[in-house]
Amino acid sequence: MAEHFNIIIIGAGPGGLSAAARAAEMGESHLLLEGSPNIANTISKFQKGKHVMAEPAVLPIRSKIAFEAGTRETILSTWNENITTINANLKFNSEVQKIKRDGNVFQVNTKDNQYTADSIVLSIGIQGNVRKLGVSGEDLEFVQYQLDDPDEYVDETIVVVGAGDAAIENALALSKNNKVIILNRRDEFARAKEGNLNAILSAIEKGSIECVYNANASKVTNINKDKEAEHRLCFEVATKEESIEIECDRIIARLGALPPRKFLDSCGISFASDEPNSVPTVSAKYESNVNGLYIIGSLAGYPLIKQCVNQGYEVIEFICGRDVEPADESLLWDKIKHIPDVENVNEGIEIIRSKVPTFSGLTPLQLREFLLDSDIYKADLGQTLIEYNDYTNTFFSIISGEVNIRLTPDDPNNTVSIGPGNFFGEMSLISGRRRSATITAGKNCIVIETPRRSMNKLINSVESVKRVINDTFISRAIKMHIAPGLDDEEISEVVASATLSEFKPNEIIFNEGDAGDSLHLIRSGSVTVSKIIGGKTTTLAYLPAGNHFGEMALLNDAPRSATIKTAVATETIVLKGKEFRNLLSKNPETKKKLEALSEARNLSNVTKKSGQGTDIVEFMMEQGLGEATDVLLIDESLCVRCDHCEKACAGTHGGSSMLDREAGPTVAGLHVPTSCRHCEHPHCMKDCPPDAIHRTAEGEVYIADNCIGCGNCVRNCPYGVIQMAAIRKEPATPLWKQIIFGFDPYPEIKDEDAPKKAVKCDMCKDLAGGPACVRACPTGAAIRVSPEEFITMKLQN
Amino acid sequence: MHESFVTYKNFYFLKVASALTSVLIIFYFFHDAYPEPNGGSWLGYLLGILGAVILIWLSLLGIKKRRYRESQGNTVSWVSAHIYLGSALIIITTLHSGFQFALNIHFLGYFLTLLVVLTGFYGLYAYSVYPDKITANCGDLTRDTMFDEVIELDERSLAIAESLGADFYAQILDLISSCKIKPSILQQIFSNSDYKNESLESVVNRIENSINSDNDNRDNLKLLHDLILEKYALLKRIDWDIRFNCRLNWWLYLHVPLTLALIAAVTIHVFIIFYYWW
Repeated sequence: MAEHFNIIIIGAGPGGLSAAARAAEMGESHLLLEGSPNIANTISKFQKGKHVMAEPAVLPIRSKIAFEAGTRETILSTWNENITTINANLKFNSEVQKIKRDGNVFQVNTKDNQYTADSIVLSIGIQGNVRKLGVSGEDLEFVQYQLDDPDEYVDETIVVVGAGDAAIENALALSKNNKVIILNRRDEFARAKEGNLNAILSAIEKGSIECVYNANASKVTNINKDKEAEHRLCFEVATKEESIEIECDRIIARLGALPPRKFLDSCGISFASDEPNSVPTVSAKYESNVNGLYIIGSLAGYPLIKQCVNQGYEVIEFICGRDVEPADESLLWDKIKHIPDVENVNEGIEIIRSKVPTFSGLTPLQLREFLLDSDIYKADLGQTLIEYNDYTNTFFSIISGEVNIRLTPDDPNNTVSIGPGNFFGEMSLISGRRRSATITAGKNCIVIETPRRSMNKLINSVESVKRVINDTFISRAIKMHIAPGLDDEEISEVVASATLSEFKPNEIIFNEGDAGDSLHLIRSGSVTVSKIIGGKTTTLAYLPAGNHFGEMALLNDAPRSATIKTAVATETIVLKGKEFRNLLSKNPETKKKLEALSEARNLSNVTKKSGQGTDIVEFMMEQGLGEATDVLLIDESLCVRCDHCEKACAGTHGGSSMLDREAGPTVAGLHVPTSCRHCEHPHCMKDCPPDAIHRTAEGEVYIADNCIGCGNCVRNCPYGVIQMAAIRKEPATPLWKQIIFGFDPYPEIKDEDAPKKAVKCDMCKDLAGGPACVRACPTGAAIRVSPEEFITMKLQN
Repeated sequence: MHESFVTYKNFYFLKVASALTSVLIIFYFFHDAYPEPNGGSWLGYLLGILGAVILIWLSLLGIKKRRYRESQGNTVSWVSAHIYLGSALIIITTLHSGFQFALNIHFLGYFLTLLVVLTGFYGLYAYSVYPDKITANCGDLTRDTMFDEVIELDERSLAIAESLGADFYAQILDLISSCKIKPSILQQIFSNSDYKNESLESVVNRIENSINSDNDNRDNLKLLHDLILEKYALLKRIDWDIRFNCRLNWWLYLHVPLTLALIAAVTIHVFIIFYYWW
């Protein structure tokens, strides 16, 4: 006779453990079946010491299974403790082979036993079903599909198969002590995070990892031991051109995992689509199409650990007939209660969807997730929401009331108003530059303020949001930079014909003498303008985002008067000649202004000497200063190599210097040391798991204390200015020893195992006098300037 | 945009120091001291106090420039004031002495003042000359990267020498251990000739001879020859870098201790004056 339980939970991952914990807590008869001999099989297979994130950070955990960000080891040991204390009924080594519905009960078969249950919770994840090589020999010894501790292997030849983050991270870790070959099925690493992409490409370039592109596994065989061969395995691989044999000691394939379709089909569960990575459809209460069979966690499409843990709790509540609010309900209510006449979260969500057209295309679930990161508040009349020239980059949407945009920075009375449903703040978000206008709250103003990261995530994932924001950006940019004073209708034709163009760094947009029939408005990035004068390429100007070029050719039908080259990756808005000329013919004022500007540009070009300033501008562009907002420049003829800049940096940042004075290139006596440039679109911000990198209103990009030391920013920074540094506890060398004996104030720390965090220049934002490196320089050799100012000055003198 | 400590704020501290000394000189000539100008007149005391205050203030630079956490002020303004007021100290102390010199503790203070200021003048010269020389000598390389390159060249030379036979290998190995850059302090400060390594030159000569005679290994020998010469050039640059850096800084090892001695001498000088006064 099969043993009966109210609930059988299958899979002891975070979701299953949490469900079992809740069932045990509530005294429900339950059984948790786990196929492997330990809990959380997927997480135990993470690389040793891996830092596990707890995202979304604000979401509370409601289960008895505790979970906060930490190393794989601490998390697993906490769960082991939790599950023992709670007395959950857990059986290891009990892989479920069959689930069958028999009248009102489910029959569950494992290899050794049979059970019955009223309800089933499936929380098996998808990692149990890893993708294998799919060729003969895929299960040989030394062919593996996970890597626990990369330091276990030394002096082996290891083939890593795959092009995702797991494969790259494994390959990089193994390459320290082994010869590593990575097999990529395609001709690039398209799926990898940018930090991993940069790291693997540089390892391949340096030769520390070998890469075979366009490679497909054909066969793995053991090499006969009698042959005294150097290696154990022979891996046959087909590339585009030929079939090759790689002799190696170990193959580690990291090809991802798929939902175990066959098993789920046999249970009668239906899927969203026939795609291999499609997940089963479940109701809002996690119930599948099979009555009484619930699915939670990554198998249901919720891959985050925190979600799994909460769902484990919720699903038991649902099964027992108790309704639970979503975990984020109270958090959202704290925000939404600021909207007048709204009784609950759902009502608020609906109001936002109906009042703000940007968000009407989002599902309530998407909007909930989005609002979790945003702030909703009522702004007082006259309260400044955005300050002209600040470097803030949040995005605002107006739910009700209005805001006033100042048309001229100094005149508080010269404003225009925009009302509910509109948004603002997209200019700085897109261009990465300072705020272009001051915006204050009008009457009854309620706004949503969204941080840069969440907004970018939304723009990149929801096409309708991207389109609305782009269109608005184009029309506002035209109104602001080219045709001030015109209304939407007057510029509508130009806006409709405008297109976006993307250019790579150092790409020529057009050459001097080309025929030209378009005007470019720089959306993000920057360009240099140059012309051949006296037989030499002479740089005329440097134009950052917000500027336009190409108007001369449009005004007088002449060929392009100069060559435009991008300094960094750049996006421009291209306005077509015909529509633009129409606009000008209807608006003589605008035309006059453009002609005046064009003449001024021409005039300044005439006085240029051949080659003047070009070397220095070219050099600065090569150093990536085209996207910098602030850079440390050392005049080598003044620098006495005393390294006081470095010492001052260390002295003001807990003993670690964030600048390397000596490193970095020099041209014409001007040295660009390795130090942060506070980029317009900081590369370091791109992939920071705890969102610890921010920009102050003054423009400094800094790393906050919640850095977890993952090193993504170090890999993402193309200028090598972020380091991992141990947090110092020792005090500095006493001053008298520094003066009398010349001792180093902060001698190097030797402890390699000390926990490290990412450190970078924060421009001494907490010191009123400004950057210590500059103020400590005894000879005036070190300055921090905006490249824009510096280049303009160099080009003029 | 760069503003040097010499020209800081349009020579502001030069103007201050000149105005101060001019006024003091005028006072000196119109001052009627009895029986002759000396440190004991009211002007003499004034000059003495002023000199001592400036001396103490100037020596505080060593502390000020290490106070990185102070949120205001620039070290460059202090340095600019340091050089001009320091120079003014020669005039102030000379006027204070009333040109009465004798071999005693009072003169020791004056003499040390002169030495401190003169080493400072050398420092000013060094700071204006050697930074450019260091840049011209090193280019984009740092001393560490030059050493790294030398090590790499050594490794490549050894690999080639190995293929040329045990004899060559041993020679190159000897050469590597004989290439030491250790200029003496005097050489660092005064010598103007390039680094010279005779055993390196003789190995190069031997390789040149072999190139002519050994047809089989000509390519490898040529490569080895070039690698060693490249290393030689790097060694010369490293040697110059060491010398330039020494010349940039050695004066500080006199300037600072002499300043401490001067403060001690001035303290004794003041003590003696007041001791006899009472």
